[in-house]
Amino acid sequence: MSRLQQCRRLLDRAEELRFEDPREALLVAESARDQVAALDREEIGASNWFAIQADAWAVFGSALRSVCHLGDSEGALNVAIAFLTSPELRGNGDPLAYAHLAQRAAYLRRDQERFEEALELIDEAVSVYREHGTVQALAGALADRGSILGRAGHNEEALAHLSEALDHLDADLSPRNYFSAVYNVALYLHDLADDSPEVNELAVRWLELARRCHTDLPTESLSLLKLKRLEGLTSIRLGQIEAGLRELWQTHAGLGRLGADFEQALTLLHLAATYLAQGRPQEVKGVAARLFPVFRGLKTDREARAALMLFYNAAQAETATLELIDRVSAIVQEAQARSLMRARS
Amino acid sequence: MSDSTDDERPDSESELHGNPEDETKAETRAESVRRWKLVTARALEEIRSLIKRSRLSQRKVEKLAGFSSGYLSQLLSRNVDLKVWHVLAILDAIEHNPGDFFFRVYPATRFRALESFQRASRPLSREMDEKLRELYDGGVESLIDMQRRLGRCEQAVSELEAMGYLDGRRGRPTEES
Repeated sequence: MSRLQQCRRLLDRAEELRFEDPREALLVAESARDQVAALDREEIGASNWFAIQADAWAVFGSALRSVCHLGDSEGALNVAIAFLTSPELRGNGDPLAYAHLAQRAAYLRRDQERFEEALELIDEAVSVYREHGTVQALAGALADRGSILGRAGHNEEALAHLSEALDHLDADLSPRNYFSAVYNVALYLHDLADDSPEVNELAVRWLELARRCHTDLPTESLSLLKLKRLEGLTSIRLGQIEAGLRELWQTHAGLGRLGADFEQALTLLHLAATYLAQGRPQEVKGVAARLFPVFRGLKTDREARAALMLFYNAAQAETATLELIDRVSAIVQEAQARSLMRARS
Repeated sequence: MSDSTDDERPDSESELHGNPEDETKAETRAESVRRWKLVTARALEEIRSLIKRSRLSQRKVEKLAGFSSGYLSQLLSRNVDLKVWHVLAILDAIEHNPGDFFFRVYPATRFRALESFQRASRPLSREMDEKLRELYDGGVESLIDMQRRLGRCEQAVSELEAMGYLDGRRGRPTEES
């Protein structure tokens, strides 16, 4: 096997690992980047050399994004763009390579919550894939467009894109993209459903589909637990209170094992809201007491701790309301976003 | 330097530090020359590759293109300046579509979002800068260009910030800022 082929395989490996073990993926991507830089330009030809440098930095950039190093990810993607648009390559550059890179840059902007830029980038990728008739790539990019819109709060538009994406996505060829698209449809339907039995019914069917998709994928605990939480919330909304509560408690335990403090706090608040709506103040107090171990994990965020403390005191005094829980949940979510940004910068 | 006597004062700012406008023009000219050299190199590389694929000998192409003996070789080795009519004559000789040739040499710049992405990016971190130097030893022109561009953007943003236009934020306001 030539050194060029070895490098290509290493880059593929880094990409695969990103979904299973992001930290390991970063190490592999870093090693691949260094090996690619050492390739002999004369031996493999200038076009090949520039193209693989661009690929290596793009893969490295995505690996950095996966471990939340957004600033460095942006830098690495810029290096990839510099290689891909270098005068030595222009004219021989593969348009699909531009599209893939635009897609990677779109993910980054989405994670940075710079949604307009993310949409501009993903649209560029979509138009190239359309032009070249690359169906799975096009469907993946449309699903990404949906997820960007959903993250920006435009659930209905997000659903339209996801639906178009699912018309083309092949579960066998792109299992991960397929699962994400199905899960996101269920999530946005849940958000839109409120008291509409028809939309809730639809959300449940999509949730079942997401559950079936998940069995074909490697274990990704956090996404599985998020799916379970969504199932619990849907069951509760459909009046299957005890089943829903069981699912939420299971989610809580799983998140505790993962050390996902913010997600755990949010799940406890969902539980508290359900007990409160059922008129079970003793259980609300019990849930509030469970928040103490979570407080420890949140000690860096004073605002979130203060909000949770406020809820705890209200629960003990049996004065907690659904509005208060909503407000506290919003504060915890904001704190989670802040914490993510801190980790990323 | 201006013809006006007033502007010839030795203590004028332009005299002491050089005229920034002239420096910019010189830089732009140098940039254009460099770009044209690269475009010519790319065109010649494409012509070489097309001749090879045409399975015609250089001598045959030369003859079909109406060049004198040895002229094509002079063109390809850059001893003679490449002109558009040279390109068209060669493409005609090897029966290759000029539209396709020019598209390959000058691809449409349609990747505007990626360009915007670059413009809205922060300069590279010192660690990444050092890594690039270590890996490529400053030998890749496009990387030098990129770093220069990012540096210029950063400077422009800092100036706008100093003037109070950006209120300390980069691009679109986000939580990151």
